Amino acid sequence: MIKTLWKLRSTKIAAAMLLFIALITIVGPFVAPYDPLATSSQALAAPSASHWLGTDYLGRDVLSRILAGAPLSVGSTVLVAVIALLVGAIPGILSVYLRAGFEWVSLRVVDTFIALPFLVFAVAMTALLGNGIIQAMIAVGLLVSPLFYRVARSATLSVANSQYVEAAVLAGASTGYIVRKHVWSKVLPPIAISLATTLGLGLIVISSLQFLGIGVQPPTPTWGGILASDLGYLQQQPYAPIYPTALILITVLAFNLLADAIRDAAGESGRILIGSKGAQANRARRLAAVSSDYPEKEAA
Amino acid sequence: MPDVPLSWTAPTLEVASLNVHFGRGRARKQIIDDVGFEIRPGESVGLIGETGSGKSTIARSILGLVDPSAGSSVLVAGKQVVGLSANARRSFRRSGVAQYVFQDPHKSLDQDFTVEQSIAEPLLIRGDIKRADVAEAVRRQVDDVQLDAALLGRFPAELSGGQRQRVAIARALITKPRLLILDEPVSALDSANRVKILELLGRLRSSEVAMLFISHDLGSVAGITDRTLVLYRGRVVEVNKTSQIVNAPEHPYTRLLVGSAPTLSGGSIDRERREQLRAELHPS
Repeated sequence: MIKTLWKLRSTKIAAAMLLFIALITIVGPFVAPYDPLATSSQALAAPSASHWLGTDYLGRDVLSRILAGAPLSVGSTVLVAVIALLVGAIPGILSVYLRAGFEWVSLRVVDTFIALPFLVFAVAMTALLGNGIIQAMIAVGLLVSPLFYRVARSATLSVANSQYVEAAVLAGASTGYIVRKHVWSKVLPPIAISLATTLGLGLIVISSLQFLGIGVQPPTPTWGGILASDLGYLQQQPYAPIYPTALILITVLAFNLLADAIRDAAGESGRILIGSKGAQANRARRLAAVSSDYPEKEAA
Repeated sequence: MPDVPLSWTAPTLEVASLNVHFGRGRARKQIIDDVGFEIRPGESVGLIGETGSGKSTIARSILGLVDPSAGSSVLVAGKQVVGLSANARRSFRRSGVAQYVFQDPHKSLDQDFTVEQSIAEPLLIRGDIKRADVAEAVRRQVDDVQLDAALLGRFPAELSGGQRQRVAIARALITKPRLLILDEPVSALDSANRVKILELLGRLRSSEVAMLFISHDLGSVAGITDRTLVLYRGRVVEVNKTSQIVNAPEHPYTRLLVGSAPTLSGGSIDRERREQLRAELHPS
């Protein structure tokens, strides 16, 4: 899978961007030059040799705050995507095969989640369960989960009604066998694409909440929170919001590029995503057949 | 054909009072209306009718993919298959007694399965045969359907239409079924492959397999079936020897069907005659 993905230029660009973001997230807090919470008398200082990105309105080092804020911003985004994946995709696949009661109830729950506005629901959740990052992540994860539910359900439905699945049913296959052998490989590509897209979307939503002060309390540094405080001092430092915005932009762009690359690499069949050597050969041969009008041979 | 006269052997398939309806209340629509027939071991029976007449619904009812109405009876190898529980139905299917060949092999084969995986699937689902024995059975079956063994590692997209249909037939035959239902098995093929597949199916007639050959094309059915049922709007309107159906059809619909079969000079009956037959079918 990695070899096929790696051949695409969009993968290489996305990987370079994500490597940069991952480095910031993992190593950043340890290499930050200053304590991100330490104030100084040098408020709103311009970039210099001692403060590469300048200081904020309390004299805190902007670079240190951005590096320290990365784990919370990126980590919570990843967790949101994982929550949405588990809450959405598994019921999405099961809704096709379990009894009509489960299908009806799960569809209504998903419809309800779709109808709820993100920010209002997140604010309500934090008001109900307390203002914390976990509460915010659960709220956003639940609200993003319908995307996975719909994608997984629609992909499963199209496979479940196919003739090769019917042939397996007629051979006495169990639901577990059908999901394992026929459905999973076809459902995986759209789910992988949705996951990559959700990682980008999740960062925007989490940053929006942090911007509003929901989930994480100041002075804890987050990219959304840094952006919010920088906007109050635009006249003095008009360039200041560029740093957190650029990082959010790069991350979202990288995940979207990755989603495109997965879609291109997976093609019509997703078995390649689960590392089947045969499927990779199949895809390579199919591509070769298309490009050279592969002659059909009739045996016998 | 078996040595024992067909009428002396117990039928492999006995369908009696088969009714199928879709919808309820005012929306209820009768699809199959009191259909009954039987097929004996080694016998090949054609089921013809126009699109929408209910041919595939009958096949799907026999296989339990469609639930027949109450009072319907379908005996396959002496076992009543109407009203089976889910577990009993799965167990019956795993026995491989009845098999089905779909119309379009491109759709009925998983594009991610190799030829070998597709043919082996019914045995692997059954789960009571060693992998080595499954591989051996697949090789024997590939020989039987005259498919090159070198194709076993190929994927459906790399095969021609005829090869794909051979794979589908091999998959159906690998469980040594007693009943084989073929739903328009040659209608998606070009004429050269059509002839080859019909020849292959013709060879099966020398075995004990009972075959139900569904088609809207009388020409395909004529060469390889002993008897033919003509289905019109969910009812069997004529049953006879296939040669009789082709040469001296009795029911107006059968005459219309036979007369509408395309020839190089168009239909074998003219437009005026077709209108007369339609008027006989729908006197108003």
